Amino acid sequence: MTTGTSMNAWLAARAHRPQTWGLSSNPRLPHDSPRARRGAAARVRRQALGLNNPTGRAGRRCAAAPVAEPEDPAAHAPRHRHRRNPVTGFLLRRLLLAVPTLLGVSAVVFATVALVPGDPVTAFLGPGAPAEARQALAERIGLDRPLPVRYLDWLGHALTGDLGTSTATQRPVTAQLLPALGETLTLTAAAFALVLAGGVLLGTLGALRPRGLWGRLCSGASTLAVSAPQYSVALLLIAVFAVHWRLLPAGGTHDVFGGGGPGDLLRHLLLPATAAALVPLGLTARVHRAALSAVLDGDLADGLRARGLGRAAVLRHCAHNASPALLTIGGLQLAYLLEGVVFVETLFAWPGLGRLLYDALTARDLPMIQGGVLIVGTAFVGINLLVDAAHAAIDPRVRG
Amino acid sequence: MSKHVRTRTRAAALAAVVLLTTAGCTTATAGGGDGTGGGTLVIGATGKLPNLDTVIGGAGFEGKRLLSFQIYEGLTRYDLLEHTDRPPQVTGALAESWQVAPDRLTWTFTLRKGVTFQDGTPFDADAVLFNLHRYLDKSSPEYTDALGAAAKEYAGDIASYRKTDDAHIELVTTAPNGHFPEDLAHVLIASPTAVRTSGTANFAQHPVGTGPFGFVSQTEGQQVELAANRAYWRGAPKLDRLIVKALPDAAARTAALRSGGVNWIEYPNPDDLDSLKASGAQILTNSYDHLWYWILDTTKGPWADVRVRQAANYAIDRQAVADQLLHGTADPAYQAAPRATAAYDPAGDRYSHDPAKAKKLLADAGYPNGFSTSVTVPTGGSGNLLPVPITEALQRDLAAVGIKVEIRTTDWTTLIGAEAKGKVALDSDAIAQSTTLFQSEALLPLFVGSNSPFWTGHYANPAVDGLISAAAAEPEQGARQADYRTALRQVTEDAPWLFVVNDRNPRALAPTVHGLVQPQSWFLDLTTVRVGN
Repeated sequence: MTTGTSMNAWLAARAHRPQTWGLSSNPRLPHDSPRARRGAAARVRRQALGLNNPTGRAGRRCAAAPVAEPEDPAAHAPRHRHRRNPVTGFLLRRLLLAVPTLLGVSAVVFATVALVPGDPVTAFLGPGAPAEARQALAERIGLDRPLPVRYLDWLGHALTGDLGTSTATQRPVTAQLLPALGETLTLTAAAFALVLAGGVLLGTLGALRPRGLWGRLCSGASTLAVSAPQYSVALLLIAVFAVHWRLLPAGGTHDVFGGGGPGDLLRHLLLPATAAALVPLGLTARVHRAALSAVLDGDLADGLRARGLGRAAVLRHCAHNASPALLTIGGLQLAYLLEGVVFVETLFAWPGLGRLLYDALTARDLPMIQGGVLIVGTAFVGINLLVDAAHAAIDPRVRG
Repeated sequence: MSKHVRTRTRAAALAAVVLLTTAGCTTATAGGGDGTGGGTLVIGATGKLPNLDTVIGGAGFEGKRLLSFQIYEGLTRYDLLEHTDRPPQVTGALAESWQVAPDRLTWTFTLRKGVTFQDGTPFDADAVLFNLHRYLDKSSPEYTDALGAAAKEYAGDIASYRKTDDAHIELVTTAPNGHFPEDLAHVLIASPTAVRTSGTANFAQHPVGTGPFGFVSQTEGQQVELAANRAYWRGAPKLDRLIVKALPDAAARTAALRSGGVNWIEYPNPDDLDSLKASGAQILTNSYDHLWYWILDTTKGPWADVRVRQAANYAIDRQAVADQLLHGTADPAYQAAPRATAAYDPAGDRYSHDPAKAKKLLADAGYPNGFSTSVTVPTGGSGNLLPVPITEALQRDLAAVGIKVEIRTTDWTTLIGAEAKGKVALDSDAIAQSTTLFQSEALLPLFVGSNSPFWTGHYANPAVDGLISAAAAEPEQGARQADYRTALRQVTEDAPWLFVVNDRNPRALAPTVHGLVQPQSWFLDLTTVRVGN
């Protein structure tokens, strides 16, 4: 065991803090190759979290005590084999859990939409349609059949990729949902990039100078971002950048007179992505600032400074240790963005899923709502899986 | 400089360049043409864009106005350019003329010669038969339930149809139907070649008709682009391109117009009109057959007494609603017949704002201290203007004469869904809504007929039923309109509704848009419009 990793274990024991597994190298050790550092760091993590302890998961408890290599590695061989691919196993379990989750969500939505007042026949044909026409449409979309039969029928088709036909537009649901999903993911990705960049920047500046001008400015900015009414901010952005200065378009995904392309898309993305990103950006900044402050004020940072590391190196190590909080809040905000861009899409005429589903709800367009919820649910589960995978990859405790 | 620092510096510089480049590009303004002179008209619509397969629509009348009626035509059409001071007449489109036989069931249409669809297919009697098969004949390979259901509203009266020769079509109705030619304006004719090529299920993606504008492309849910049909039989439209964008949020529509992203918006928020005018926009309005009203339950509590219903109609200040709340985008409605209909009679404007008279009528009916009631109001919906603020204004006026109103809000789909089943959402004593009474004469009995399947406040007057029924069977338009006028005069007297305002169909146009004739109709003829300085 190197001096560096001993130091890390000591810091882990001192700090009693779960994040301590993140300190991975001692820059003052010239013979310390990246591979050796990774191996040593992994050992320290396992020791600090008690994963080599036969008693199992008492990571924090065990981390407090001096840790030694297992006396009889062979005795733990089956456990190691079992944990050969802990991340994969963890993800498989989560993936399996997603199936009943999606089924449950689709069943609840199917029942809810079918039971609320208003009917798709009137929404489509209008109140003046003849009774025969109403009856014909009701039969065609299956409203004359019992709800469970309709649900099972829908489910059977959905499993083959057929999400049915929209009652409002009489077009295949997938033909409308998939392009809309692409648009929403584009907007969400752009907004999320702003959330991460802005959140980390504001949070870090706030944590580094908590009582200085920058710290206060960043704190104020993040509070303002969280509390600013999204609708008003969106209108303000449009009024200033689209109407007054005419720098950016007020809505849509491309210029009707332009040739499209990435530059055109980026121009159209800036305002809606900013409007959508504000609240999650503020939250992310606040959480990151709190997490980073805690690490910077803790024993780990003291130890690093005591060892003579520069400010940048200390910040890098501390930011690494604060990253689980960032990952958690980032994952939540990504899901929030995916589901919460409805009104941003409406205001900026962005033809995404949110707007499509809003229109479907007002028209009681059950096949579209069902398909949309299934796709949003799947995307939600997918995002959570990705976040969990990242989390599990860097934090063994969450693998369960 | 370390490698990391250099990399970061480059990344930051690249990001800055991208941002400056993108921000520095100014937004192209709507209106630029492609060189043929008429320019491009970009319209911000208030609702969803319709399914473009002929009669299916599915996005309300706005989709029909801006897209379906621009791509397709029926055997007849509304003449929307002739007058702006009276409701439009029905005239020939793909049929030049028509005759009805003495049995008042058999109609013979003489088809227009020399018309071609936008794909070059000649229009003829076989094309009409093909489309009627597609709508009405379940054995047709092109028939779909959606088409059949949608077509029934206007073609449901057709009992049989046949080609008598290449230039004539004979249609037989199930019962005498005086407004049959008007109904046929909504039975749109598609190119048989295009339907067969695309397949009936995919025709909405490649629509082809004979209208002034041909389909170019659509971005699902976002916009539809049309181009001028240079071979249009009435002469090519002046515009080069017509683009319709869905902008459901009123503030977004206003911003889009002011930023130059569109050059025409439908129904701007009345509160934005002054600022739009100040920025140079043209505000166009005209009456049409719209009525914003409450339907009162004529069998429930005090509303069962005609004097109470009349008292409520005297109690409300419609002028204030039209002027102060809607900023002149609506006219006060003093009677059942909307202003822009042949049934409207200025002498029939009965219900002025007269609270004293309202109180006397209430006292005569046995309610000197008023009573409590309730109304279900939609929070939005096509043509409903500002439903909740209008209802709150009426609530204040009614409270002044002792009628205390509880407002119950719901969404438009819920309200009309319940209404179509003969019920009132939230079980109130009245509902607030709007309608276009004469958009199709076929619909009138649904609003005032005693046998309507819809909730009409249980209003029933045999005299009104008789007049409406007689009018429907009358092929002569003048006689038909006289019957409607008499019937609606009786409805005004019976006051089953609280008559409030008639919308004036406001739209805001950029200063560069010229030539629009705004008719007394929901529909528009865009062939005279051009964009340019």
